[in-house]
Amino acid sequence: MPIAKLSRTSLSGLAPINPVLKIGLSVGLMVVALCLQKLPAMAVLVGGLLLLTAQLRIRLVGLLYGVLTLTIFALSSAWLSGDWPKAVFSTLRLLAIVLPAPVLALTTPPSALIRALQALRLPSFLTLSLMIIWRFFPLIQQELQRIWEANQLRGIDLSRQPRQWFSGLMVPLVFQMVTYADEVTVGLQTRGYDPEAPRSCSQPLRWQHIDTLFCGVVALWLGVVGYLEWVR
Amino acid sequence: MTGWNTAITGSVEDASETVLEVVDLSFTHVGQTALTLKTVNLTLQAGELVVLSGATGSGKSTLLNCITGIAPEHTGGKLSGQIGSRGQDLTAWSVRQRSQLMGMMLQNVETQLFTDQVWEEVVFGLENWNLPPGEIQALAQTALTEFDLVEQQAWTIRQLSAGQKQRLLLACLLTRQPDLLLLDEPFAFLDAAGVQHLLECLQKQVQQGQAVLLIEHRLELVRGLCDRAYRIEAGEVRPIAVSALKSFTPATVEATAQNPFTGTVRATETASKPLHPPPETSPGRLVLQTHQLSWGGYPPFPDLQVENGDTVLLQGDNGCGKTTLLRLLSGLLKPATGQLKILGQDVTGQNVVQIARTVGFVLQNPNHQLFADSVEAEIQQSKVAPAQARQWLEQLNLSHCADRHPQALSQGQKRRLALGAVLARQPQICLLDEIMVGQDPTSLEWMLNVLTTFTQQGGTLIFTSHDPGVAERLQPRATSLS
Repeated sequence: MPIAKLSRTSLSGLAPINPVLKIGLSVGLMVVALCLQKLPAMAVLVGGLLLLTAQLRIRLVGLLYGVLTLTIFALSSAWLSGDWPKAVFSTLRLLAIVLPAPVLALTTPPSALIRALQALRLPSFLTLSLMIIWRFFPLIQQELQRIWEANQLRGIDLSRQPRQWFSGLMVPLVFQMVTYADEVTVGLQTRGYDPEAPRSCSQPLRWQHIDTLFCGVVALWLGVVGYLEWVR
Repeated sequence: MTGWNTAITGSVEDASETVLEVVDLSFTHVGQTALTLKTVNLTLQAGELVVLSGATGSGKSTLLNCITGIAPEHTGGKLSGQIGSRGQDLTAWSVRQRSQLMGMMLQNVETQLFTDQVWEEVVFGLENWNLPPGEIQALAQTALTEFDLVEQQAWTIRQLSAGQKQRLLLACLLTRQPDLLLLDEPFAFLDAAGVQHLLECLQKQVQQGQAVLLIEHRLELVRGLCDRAYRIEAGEVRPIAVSALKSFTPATVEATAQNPFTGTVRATETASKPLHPPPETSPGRLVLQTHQLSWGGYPPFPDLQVENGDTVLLQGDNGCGKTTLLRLLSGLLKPATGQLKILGQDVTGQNVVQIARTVGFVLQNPNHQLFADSVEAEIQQSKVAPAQARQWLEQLNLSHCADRHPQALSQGQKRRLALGAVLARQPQICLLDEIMVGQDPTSLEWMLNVLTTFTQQGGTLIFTSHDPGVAERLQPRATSLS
């Protein structure tokens, strides 16, 4: 079936890593990025993060946008400060702060992420909200696109007629969203969900050998970063 | 009804075979004074399959909502009467509590699936009931095996076809073996294989002693399976003979259609009134040509040679690319290879707005295409004079709701309105993507009459539909997509 072939996705080699460990590492890496002061240490930290980023399938257009944004940031920073090494350092720090969360989130299946948040004892309505956003965000995106297209089919090009945005885009979108919200609420109840009721967990998170191995590699990486920053 | 146990318990102690008992149920929608349902009495025994039929907007879904507790809990409105199961009074139970006893499949399956993966979806419902992990694993595995989804258990939900999603939801709803299964137009978007699979599933459930109550317009599909049938008319439920269950065919729908709001109107007469024909084209003129169109991962689409006045049906299973081909013809998608010619001009590189001058497209979901404040204004958006707009509304049996907001209409009415708004623009070619679903036979007749008139006046129709009755009526040239 072509649709199945088109949409089949595969997660990276980081997928089996314990999501709680990934959440902890994301926070840790951002703290380290804020503490570092030397360019070589920052370069190694960002280098490691770029290796992790390579696990993701990034579209060429997205990559080009990213490179362009960073270049503009570096150039404007250098122009404002008049200090090229400082501008490069700031750009690397920006990368080190921005990259960890999306890299680790995008290499984690949504269901594993939800289980991690449940394991962290977050309230059930919060984890469910996240799950619903994850599930329905693409649907909302699709709705927006369909409404945009429906306008085009009526001969209205919204990109050239912003006056039509309210009646042509916002009104049908709000109607769709409200309808979805109502239907999802009902749908949840038909599936037995109650925010007040206790839920069981059929696949509790467990520490695995791969998690130990991952911890070892990360410790080595951060060890090198620490050596370059504080010892050398 | 007296003697019902009102306690909420997980297990059913009463051995009664009556899994649903609706007694003197009446319902009034918010802001209305007229009763939508009038003193409805209905019973279902274990192992029975009962079909509810009726015109669009007659109250079928409202009755299902009342039984499941969605009305009035979520919709508002006033309910009187009682709903029971095996000696228990469920009237005060919430939707969630009732879901222990009844599996409910709503019209839009997407809104009942919450996770991103097949296995996780089955497990989600079981975790909600706080079952022990060991039991969850066993129940989920059994459900996937029973509904032939073992191979897909690691798939994401997006990978599933419409039929597979429905099957997954059924597997989820039936993991705890509820007494009753309620389905609202489950066959609407299914291809022949999906229909067959669902029928087999339902048959199996009934044989296992489950009761099934379903709403359906395509009655020929369920006639062989159902034990009893009811028809809702003006809020009243009346039993009808199973042998009287007839779907839409040219013979079954009389030329005279009863419009409950404006009186009896001869549908064929109305449809034959002069509409506003598409710009004149000489008879037998080639209006649309495709050559080796391809897009995405689909195999190349068959070449089309369509003349004015032609009616073309795009056939194929769910996921074979029917909608994609329509989107290519409308310009919403640009082909990877191949050529599209409309009225002899190569329009492959043209944008949608340019192509929309000659091609109208009615989308599967009418909600995306309705923008105006009132039904009449929706037609007039196409720069149609008020008198002509009223004529269109009459043709599509929408005159009685001309002042209502388009989003307040039923799905079937919305589809007719979206069709009217597109045809009022007088396109040369009209593309329809599964817009005949959710129409009762009379409403469908209104729609098909308008379409027939459109093609008789030289318009070209290219459409998709899984309903054989529609094909029988429009007598199209079929093009199969593999």
